[in-house]
Amino acid sequence: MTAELPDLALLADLDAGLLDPARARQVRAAAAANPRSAAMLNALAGIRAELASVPTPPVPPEIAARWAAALEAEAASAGERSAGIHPVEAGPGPARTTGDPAGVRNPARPSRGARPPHRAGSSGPPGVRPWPRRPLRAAGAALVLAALVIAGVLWPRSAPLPPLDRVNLAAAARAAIGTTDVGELADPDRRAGCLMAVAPALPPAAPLLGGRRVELDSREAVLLVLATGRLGTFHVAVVDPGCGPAGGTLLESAVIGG
Amino acid sequence: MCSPAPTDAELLAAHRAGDRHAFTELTARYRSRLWGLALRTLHHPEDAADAVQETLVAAYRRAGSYRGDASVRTWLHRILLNTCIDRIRHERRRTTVPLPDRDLQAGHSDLATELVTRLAVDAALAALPVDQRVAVVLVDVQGWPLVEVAELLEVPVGTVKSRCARGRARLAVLLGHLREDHR
Repeated sequence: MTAELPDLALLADLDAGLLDPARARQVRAAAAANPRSAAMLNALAGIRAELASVPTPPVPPEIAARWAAALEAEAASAGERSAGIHPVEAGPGPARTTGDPAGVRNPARPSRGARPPHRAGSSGPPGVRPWPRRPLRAAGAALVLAALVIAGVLWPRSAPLPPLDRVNLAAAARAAIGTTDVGELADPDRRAGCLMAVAPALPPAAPLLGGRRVELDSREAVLLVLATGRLGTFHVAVVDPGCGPAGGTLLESAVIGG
Repeated sequence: MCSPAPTDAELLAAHRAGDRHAFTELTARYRSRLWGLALRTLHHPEDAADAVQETLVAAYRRAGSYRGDASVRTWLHRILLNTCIDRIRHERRRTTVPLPDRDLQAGHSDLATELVTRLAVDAALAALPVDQRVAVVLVDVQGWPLVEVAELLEVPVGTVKSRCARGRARLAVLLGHLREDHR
């Protein structure tokens, strides 16, 4: 056994599986014989556990809506350029090297000709941003909202259902894309049965793009956003949470986009 | 009865073929993870939102250049990391958004504890060098396999392990698991 007292860096290497087997045995034995080293190993294991328990932050609805609008704008722009073909071209995306459009650069290695990042309020490169910018002045409020949502302050699990306003149905639907908090209607068979029962005009097997539980007219409901097969155009249905093959209530339906 | 969900590659191929729904369905699968990675890499919601937006649009445009050398997931995240690295390199902006003063009422101790813990972890991650931060977020927070992270970052697996090791050691001090003099 070595008399060497492992330091934190060496123990972190051990913890990460960086040491060869013989060296790992040596360091592990030295650590086991020293309470301070054992505490360091426990701390590293605790860090991994703590990091693994960090939840994925939910995407704030207003940001999700912005992304959806950006893609719609891009689709429209691409449609103007060609009929359904998406050309490869330089654009406002990340800077890249020729022949490796998505290559990751080493952050420690400076790049030449890297594109300056877009900033709110900056003019940016002329004519290369076809999608909507975030509102400049509203960004502050949106930031606070986003931070609170990310932190789980505004929408903790026990939060009341968000009210749904028919006037803003389209915005709410777009914001719900990617969210699948639809309760039992997450089951495709149940959802199809529900739609056949209450909304026969809608394709019952349409892919669910998103949805969430909401409150409409002071009653609990589920907002469903369904694919139409056309980018940027969605079927929206608001049904009662118990809706299924046996029946239910259609509270609202619409086609948005297009 | 139900046909299996299309794979990522199938959706991307459908998008290239003109299916106007495929790209939305594809990106819906990764939107939250892209957001999480951008947020924890940039530590600024405004920048993170822009980075993901640029990524989605770039991926939409560049779908035709996807060669299948890496998974679609890796390809998407690689575009995002490029964007994030650009922003970090040019701005060095790593400020966190201060939360407004807020009374955490009695009965909300779990929420308060969770919030404090989450903010502490995010703040500690922000203090890491970006290469360590990205490795730790991908491996430890998002649970990516080491091999896939190495492919994504285009570095050897050992380098990913090393970055994680350095990052965890620093986090152990920053998060109070160890005192600074343990280093």
